[in-house]
This record gives sequence, structure tokens and C-alpha cells, in this order.
Amino acid sequence: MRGRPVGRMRKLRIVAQDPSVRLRGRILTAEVDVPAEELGPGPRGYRVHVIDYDASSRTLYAPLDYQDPSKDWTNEPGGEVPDDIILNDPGFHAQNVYALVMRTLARFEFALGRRVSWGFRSSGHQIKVAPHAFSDVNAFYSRRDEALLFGHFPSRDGSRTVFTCLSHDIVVHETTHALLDGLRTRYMEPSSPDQAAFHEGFADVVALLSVFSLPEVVQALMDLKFGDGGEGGTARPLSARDITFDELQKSVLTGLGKEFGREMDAIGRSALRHSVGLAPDAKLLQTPAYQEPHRRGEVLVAAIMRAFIKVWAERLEALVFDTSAKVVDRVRAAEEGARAADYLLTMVIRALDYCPPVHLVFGAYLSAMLTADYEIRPTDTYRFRHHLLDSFKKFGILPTTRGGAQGRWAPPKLRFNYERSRFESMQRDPDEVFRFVWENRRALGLADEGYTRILSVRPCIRVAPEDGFPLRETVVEVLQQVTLPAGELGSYEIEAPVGMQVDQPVMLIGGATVIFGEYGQVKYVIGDRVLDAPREEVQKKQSERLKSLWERGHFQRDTRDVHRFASIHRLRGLDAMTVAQEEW
Amino acid sequence: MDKPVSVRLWSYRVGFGDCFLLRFAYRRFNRHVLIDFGTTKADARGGNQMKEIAEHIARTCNGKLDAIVATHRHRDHISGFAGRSWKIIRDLSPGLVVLPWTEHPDAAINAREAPDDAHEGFDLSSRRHVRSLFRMQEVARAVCEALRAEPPDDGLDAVGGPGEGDSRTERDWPGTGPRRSELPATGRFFSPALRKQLQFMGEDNLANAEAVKNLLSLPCEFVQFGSKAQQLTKLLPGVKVHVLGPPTLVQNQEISRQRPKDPDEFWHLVQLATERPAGAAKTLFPGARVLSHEAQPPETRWFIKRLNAERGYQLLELVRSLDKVLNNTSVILLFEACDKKLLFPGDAQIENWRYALCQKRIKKLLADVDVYKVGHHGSLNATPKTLWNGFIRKGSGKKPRRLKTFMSTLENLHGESVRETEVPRQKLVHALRTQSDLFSTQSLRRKEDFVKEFRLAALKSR
Ligand SMILES: [Zn+2]
Ligand SMILES: [Zn+2]
Ligand SMILES: [Zn+2]
Repeated sequence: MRGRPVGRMRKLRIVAQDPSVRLRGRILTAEVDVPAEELGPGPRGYRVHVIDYDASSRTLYAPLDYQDPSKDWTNEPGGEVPDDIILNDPGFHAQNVYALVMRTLARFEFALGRRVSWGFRSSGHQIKVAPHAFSDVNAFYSRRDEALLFGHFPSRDGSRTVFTCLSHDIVVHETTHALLDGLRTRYMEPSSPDQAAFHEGFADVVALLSVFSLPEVVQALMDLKFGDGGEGGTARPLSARDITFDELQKSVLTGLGKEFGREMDAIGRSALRHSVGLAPDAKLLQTPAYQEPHRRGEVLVAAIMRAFIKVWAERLEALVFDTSAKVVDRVRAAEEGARAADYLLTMVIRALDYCPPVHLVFGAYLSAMLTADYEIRPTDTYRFRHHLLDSFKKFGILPTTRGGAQGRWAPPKLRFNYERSRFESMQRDPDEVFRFVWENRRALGLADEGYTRILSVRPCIRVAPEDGFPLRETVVEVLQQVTLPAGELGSYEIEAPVGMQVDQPVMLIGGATVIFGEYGQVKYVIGDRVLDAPREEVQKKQSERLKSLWERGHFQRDTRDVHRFASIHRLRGLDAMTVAQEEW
Repeated sequence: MDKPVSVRLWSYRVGFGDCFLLRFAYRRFNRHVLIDFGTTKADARGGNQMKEIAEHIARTCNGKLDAIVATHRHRDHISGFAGRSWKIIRDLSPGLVVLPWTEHPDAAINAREAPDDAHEGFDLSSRRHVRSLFRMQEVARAVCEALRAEPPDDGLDAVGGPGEGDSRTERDWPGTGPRRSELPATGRFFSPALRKQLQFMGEDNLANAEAVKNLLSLPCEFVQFGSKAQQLTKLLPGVKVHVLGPPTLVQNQEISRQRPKDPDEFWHLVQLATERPAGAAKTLFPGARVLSHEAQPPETRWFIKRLNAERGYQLLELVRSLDKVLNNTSVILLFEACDKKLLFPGDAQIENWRYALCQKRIKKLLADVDVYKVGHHGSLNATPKTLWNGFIRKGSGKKPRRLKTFMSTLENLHGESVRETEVPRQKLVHALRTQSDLFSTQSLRRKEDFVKEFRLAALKSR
């Protein structure tokens, strides 16, 4: 990482998946682009500060000095870093996490067309990252520590150390928790079982697609399945038989589950091993086992990864039939897979802007993906929208739209009053936005009883891949809350859960994500209001949420700890269940 | 046929732990069953009275103990079966020890044995489950060792407890200077509250090899849900004994619809990970340059302090989850004698109870329980609501034949009231107090009052 970087991006070498994935005996690595910056020791950059402290042994490793030419692992001959350095140099570990966190951040910023903040209470800008935080079978994002903490633990036979900070999917998974927490702070709060599951599922999706977006990894997976032709030999090209949906599913997804991430099973990343192989079942989400958040999240992963393979298979098919030999070479096939993964990665992240500020359900996330993608690419060139819609349906998830075409959000029917607000300042000033929201509270369906706040105002510019034209939008989150004693819920047509005391205070929340177009016109209003007397289903949903929260023990005790990722991941590792209704 | 004419119960105050002696009195003889005998924290008022309690047991059963029930291997239930108090108990020549199936020597796997063997009727996953219990106690040991390595409490404030959540004052924010107590040289990392909980739970989960060995040296009957408990029944003519827990893995599988997960693998790694810092920690990267406490750059100090505290919470969470698993190996016994039903569930929590409670037949059997030994010292998840709500003899003070409840506990050791996890759980205590005749060992205040006797049942014709 030597010297003064020139240009906007710099290349850094990372472990492609984890040290167990090897090519011809050596750990598979990959070169990735990260935003260039002037780094301090750590590395410590404008968004990430690596502090290599191990709390189990109370050891602070000296920070990586990026000025030291011997620590420039990118320009090693042949672009490879010796395995010994990868495994035994804490400085390389520091660089590896730095690169992956920055790459993920950059990926989010690219997809959303703007800067993305962390969700810390102190509104700090630099996340702390501890690559060897403790000797424990865990890794997690901690909001209160403003940090990503990666554990290390001995391998099963005790002969080596397994470093979670060297596992691509784990680092990206934790970083995604942190980024999502910054984008939708309320998603950590109690709501529906879907919302409880979303953080885990989404973090897994981003992690998997991030791994797949490296052609090196995709090719390694195919080599595992089809053989690599041996030392000096050439791998045989793929024929039409090899690239059907079923074959790709077997070679890539199942292969990934079998070969990759085996050592990480204990830390609860069963996504790699289970969710990708989950067979479509429209009833699955209704079964009791899938009420547990970590299980439920796997359904989201399975549905999205299925669409990914579908698209990839279609694209390879087209390639095969284009050539006279009716084959496609491995490198090309891998690139095609990585490109599809990369495109889908943009889609799943971009969708966040089109998600409601609170009470997310999987169907709403589906509508958000479809709408976000449609906005930037009106024709479904890759057929991702088609396959996502189909794949979600096979898992029993239907888009949550009210009359939108092809599962997308519908534009609002009501007219808004734009006369008294100045759009120019609405793009950055929450008070100006609030004025607009207040003026239009009827059209936006806000409840008079509610306390209303603007959570965020985010202008963004996204470039359409087709014609290179920018799409300008401003994303605003409006939140409403009302606190009522349980006894009063009935007068608002909301049912209090059976057994709840009448004086139990109940906080209801609701709100909307409002998307403004380039000229300040309202394009979409997404989400359920806190109360909405004319629309019975709003009250019905609030009743259902309360019932579900009541059953999951939310009103019995402080569930703050349960919502910490440290605990979520531990429970996932144990595949534990919760039985809050039986507790005191 | 012989049948008991009365049943008496002695509830002993052991501090935090359980110890109950049952007498089934027949016309010509008595039979005595001791259910658990252990402590982790001797009551501050009474000091360590295990020997006196053992002597009292010896006098009460007149030199002959017919059976011991050791519900599970937690220290607070079996520590009395080791050391001086064991000598006294052993001399009562106990004829039978009732233990959960997880204690069966044939289910154990020793370290050298191939782990993929079924043995003597125990399938592989059962044996792995048993081995994971052993590993959990090793984790507890490592945690206790880590605590011992901590510098002693110097009375200065440290980072708040695990319930602290996101609330913090301005001076706790990143970038603020360290307080005196947080200067690197002080080197104390866990808050006193955290230490206390870690120590208490860690010690309770330590393996008690001597007590286990002593118990296994006697004739044993290993039980699970649905066992006939033939040997125990033979000793107690005219008493019906139902074993309602623990379920076997197969039974659990029937109702959980969860994919089988290998706990041995998970706890194996956890064991290795927690044991390591004691030994090989400094050699994680042998050649790497390390900074001393004094050389910590100021911009890293806030974070290092937080990370040290976080490490403590992680250990606490681990210990909590293994504590729960061990509790769930508890034997649950229901005795029927003299037209009364007496329920002794050890420390069984919901996961253990679940198999019994999902069966209509069992729920009906439990509805008219007369005597309930409160599960797990009154914790929030050891008296399942389904069980409690099903009790028909609970009710206001005037209710005839009202439910009697017995709770052996000690406050302020286990859980936290801010998190609403305190033991005993106040909400439960309130229900027990208002809906049943509750006796708590905490009501025995003077040193010499370490036991109380109760007449539970008698045949009306006598
Ligand atoms: Zn996670
Ligand atoms: Zn106990
Ligand atoms: Zn216990």
C-alpha cells in the first residue's frame, strides 16, 4: 500500500474467499479496486480505522505502516502474496479487512449514487475494525462500539488458527450490517418476523454476491466441479449440458456450500451451506421453524440466489448458441457469472432507497428491487426482474404493491401541493422537507395523532447503464409515532394482544419513504402510515405486528440484547429457538 | 399392598442451590428420598452449613437413605455429594441414585475414542450431545481462569454492564479522554457487576468430578421422559412415579422440526477458543511487533476500552447459553402418593419441559398438582406459562386444598433486574405468593434455621 495513490481508485490484493480455497495448492487471492486515499497507520482512512487489538490476550499489534515498501503486497511478482504472509502477518490481515470494508462501502455508494453514512449515535465517520478482536467463534457489527469485531479461533484439530477477518463473505456480511444500520436505523427495532430476519438475510445476500462478483472465485468453483485440466493443461470448455440451471446450481451453489466456508459453519454462517440449497416451497415461511429470524433470512437468500443462477444460465446459453463450436470457455463463463452477480448486487442495494423506513416485509423489498431497477433500466435486459418475481413467488413471497405494474410500486394517485415549497433547498434541508410534508399531510396519509419527524433527506445521482444519462432523485424518510395505552387501541380499530394489560403503553410507528424526482415531483410514497382510518388494512397490520411482538416477548422485557448482532450470530451458530410466550 | 400414609418434606437452606428431603411414611417403615444437595454460594447469614445439613438429613432418615435424585450435574445441585458432607451421606447407604440419561457412562465419549461410534444403545448424536456437555464445563473452567487472571477490583468505575445498550453520557463518546480508571496502566477491564455474574455462573458450571464419581459408585437408575423408573418405584410401594424429563434427542426431534445441529462441533471450537488465551495467546503472531499499554496511541484508547468490555459480555453470553443447556438435562419427577401430586422439576427450563407439555395427556396429569418445587430457583424461564396456567389448585388464599410451592433461592446472584432477568423473577414470585402457599428458603433468616419441615399429605382415614 505504498506511496501516494494517484487517481480515484487503487488496487489491493485480498483473499478471494477464505484461506481454505486454494488453486494449485496456493491460497486463492484476487485484486480489487478500492477508493484511493491518503492512509494513516492502521490503515486509517476517511471511513475506516483498523485497530488491531486482541482483547483475549490484551495485545495491541503495531499498526500497519503503509509507508513501508515491504508491505506493498499488491505489486508482488505475479501479483501473488505468499501464503505465509497471508496466514501469519497481522499487517496483511489489517489490509485485507480494510480493502473489503472499503470495497463494500464503495459498492453501496455506487449503487445508491451518493455518500453513505454509518449509523452511529455519535455520527462519527470512521468505523473501527478489529481484525483479531478476541478468541471466539463469532464476528459481528456493534453499533455501540462503532465497530466491526472479528474473532479468531483454533481449527478443529487445534493445529491452525481460523481468522474470520480473512473470510471475504464474513467481512462483507458484517460491513453490510453496519451500512444497512446507517441507511435504515429502524430495521434493528422490533416489528414483523420479516424485518427481524431482513438484516441477516440481506447481509448474506450482499456477502454472497460480493464473493461471486470476483471472476477468480467463480472460475475456481467451476474448476472444482469440472476439473482444471491439471498443471499446465487447459480446462475443457463448457458445453450446453454444463450450463443448464440445474448444473450451475450444482457446480456453483452446492459447490460453494461444500467446499467453501466449512470452517465458518460454527459461527453461524449457514447461508453458504443451507440457504443456497433450499428448495422452493411456498409454505416454508409459515412453518414454525421459519419464524426464527436466522432461518427466515435464509429464505430471502435462497430466493435471490436462485434468480441469479437463472439469469446466468440464460446468458451462458445465449453465448453457447452464438458460437459455431457450441461451447463457451471457462474464463468467459466465469466473467459472465461475475458480471451478473455484480449487476444483481447493485440491484439489491439500490432497492434500499425504495424500502419503507419502518416495518419492512420481504414482499415490500421485492417491490423495491423491481421499482429501483425499472427506474434506471426500463427494459428488463438481463431478465432479473422476471426471475426475481418468479423466484420469490416460488417461496411464497408476493410483491407488496397496491396496483403497480409487474410488482412495482404504484405512483401516488393523489395530487400534491408544490406551491409553497422550494425544491432547491428541499434536497438538503429537513425543515424545508417537513414543510412540504406538513402541507401535504392529507395526501401523504399522515395521522393527526402522530408525532412526525423527517429521518433523512438524501439526494442522489445514478447513472443509467443504457444511455449514460443521470437519474436524479431525492429520498426522504418520514417517520410517525403514536404511543397509546393498550386499552385505547380499540378506538383506533387496532386489536390489543390477548392478555396485555390495559395500561401497557404501546408505541405504534409508521411512516413513508418519499421519492422526489428531478424536478421535485413526488414519484413514490412507500410504506404504511401509523394509523390510516379509511384503510382498514393499515390497522390490521398494526394489530398483527403487536400480536407477533407480544408472542415473541417484546413487551415482557427489555429485548435490546436480543437485537445485538453478537447474540443473533451466536443463536444462529447454535440454531437456537426462542419461546418467549412461556417466560415470566 | 403397602402404601404411604403420609408424606413430609424438609426444605434446606443451602444458599443458592437445591436440597429437599422427602419422607414417605408407611405403617411399619419410612422411606426417604433426597432430591439434590448442592450449593454455589453459601448463604451469608448461615456460612457454609453443608455438613450440618448432612447431619440433619442423617438424623431425619434415621441412618438410612433409600434413594438420591441428582436432577442434573450443576454444582448447586450436587456439590454436597463430595467432600465432608458426602462421607455422612454415604454412611446412610443410599440404595439408589436417580440420574438423567445424559449421565449414563455408556453415553460418554472419551477424548481418544473415535467420535463416530454408537455404543450400548446410545446413538452417535446422543453421545455427541453428552460430549458437548462435557465441553461446556471446560468452557466454564476457562472462563473462571480468565477471571482469575484479571487484576482485583480496585473499586473504580469501569465500563457499564451488558444491559447498558446505547445509552451513554457525552463523556463516554469516542474521542473523549480516558478517566483515571481507564488509563492503560490500571489494567482492569470488566465492571464489578459483570465479574460477579461471570464468576457465579462460571463456578456453577464447573465440572464436579468427585461428586459425579461418588454418585456413580452407587446403584444408578438413568431416566428420561417416559421412563418407568422401576427401581425407584420398587423402593416406594404405593407411590406412582412419572418421569417427565429430560427428553431424549429423538423425542426432542419429534417436536422441534429443526434440522439436527451438532452441538459437539460448536462447543468443541468454543472450548478451544476460550482455553487458548490462558496458554498460547501471545504466540498468535510470534514475530509481530506489539505495542505496550503505555504506547497505546490516544486515538485507539476509547475503542480498546470498549473492546475489553465487549469481550466480557461475550464470555457472559457463552456461559449463559451453556448454563441453560445443562439445566435442561434436569430430571423432572412427579410423585403421586396419598392422593396428592408432588412435582420436582430440578432446573428444567422450557426446552426440557416442551416435550412433556406438548402432550395433552401430560398436561392433564399435571393440572391437579398439589406441591410444586419451583423450577430453577424461580428464574423467568423455568416455570413455563403453559404449566403454571394449567395448575387448577392455584388461587386466592381461601381456596381449599390450595397449591403449595417451594422455592430454594438466593437473590442478587443470577441475572439482572434492569434486564428483567433477575432470579428469582419478581413477576413469578408475585404470582406464586398470591396464587399459592409459597415457601422460600430466603424466609429462613437465622443461622440455626437452615431447615423447615412440612406435612404435605396424609391419608384422611388416619
Ligand atoms: Zn449477521
Ligand atoms: Zn440450580
Ligand atoms: Zn442448574
